[in-house]
Amino acid sequence: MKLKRRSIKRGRIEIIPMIDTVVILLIFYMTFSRFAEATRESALVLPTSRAGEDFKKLPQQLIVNMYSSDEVSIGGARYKVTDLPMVMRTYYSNLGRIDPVLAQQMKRGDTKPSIILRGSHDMTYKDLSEFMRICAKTDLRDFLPPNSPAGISEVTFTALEQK
Amino acid sequence: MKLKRRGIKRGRIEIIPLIDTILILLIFYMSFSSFESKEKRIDAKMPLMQTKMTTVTKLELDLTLHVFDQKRILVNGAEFDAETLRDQMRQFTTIPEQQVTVVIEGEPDTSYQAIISALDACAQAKLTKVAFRPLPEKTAAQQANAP
Repeated sequence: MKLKRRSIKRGRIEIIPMIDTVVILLIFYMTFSRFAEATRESALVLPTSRAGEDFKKLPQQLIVNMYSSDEVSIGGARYKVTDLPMVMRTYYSNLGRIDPVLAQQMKRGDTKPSIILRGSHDMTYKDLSEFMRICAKTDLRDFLPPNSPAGISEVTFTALEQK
Repeated sequence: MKLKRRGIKRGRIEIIPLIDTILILLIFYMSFSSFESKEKRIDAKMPLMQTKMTTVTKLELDLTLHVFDQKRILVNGAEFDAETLRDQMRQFTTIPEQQVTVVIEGEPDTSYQAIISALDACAQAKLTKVAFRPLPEKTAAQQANAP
């Protein structure tokens, strides 16, 4: 009996799935840029530095965009620097609902509350000093192990890479 | 003479120009993200400051950086600028078994860029134990009331 040879299928580019893929990639990039804008304000002009590691936000870190002591932006909402203790307390109390594991780690003392400060380059030391003072006074001991000191000791500063 | 009717052209989506447009948009977004300057982070683990802000705890080798501006930074009284400060700070990394704590302080009108430059010099010299000495509360309040 003679067997029929299977006809060789010629490879070709499928247009429709390609368009689907490209559109999904496009949407992904557009959305991603929007999300980055929400937490890290693009309007803020950062200072420059040579040293430093690549920007990375840890889950327990709160991003604070600071233009001056009277204008602070967190998650798109505007505050004064004096509102920071209230905002931080709200953030870390909500963390228990959003990420209970992380909240427990904080309660055990495995991780510490921390702030990422994105300060505007035209800010002054007076603004920074006010921010530091507020950080030292912020009482987050409800979310930390017993007998923990008050205040936030870990602050990460951000700057643009100096070329 | 009978005239021929023109056939009605059916509208259709042109695939090739569509792909071209989408690809160009995609390349634009991808390039834009890489052209943007990289954001860097400088971690500062600060000794916890007391609410009175008068002392900074446990200083093994207290190195005070008083920043006036980028061209004038005093290191324990000696004057440097942002460039020469980096070399100066590197000398402290060679001190064996010594924990260097850097205390940065400034004038009320010192620019944040100058402070970051000082912090940058510390980070380049691998000095991560940094504290900021805040302005006295009176000065801060006076500055706030000033016109």
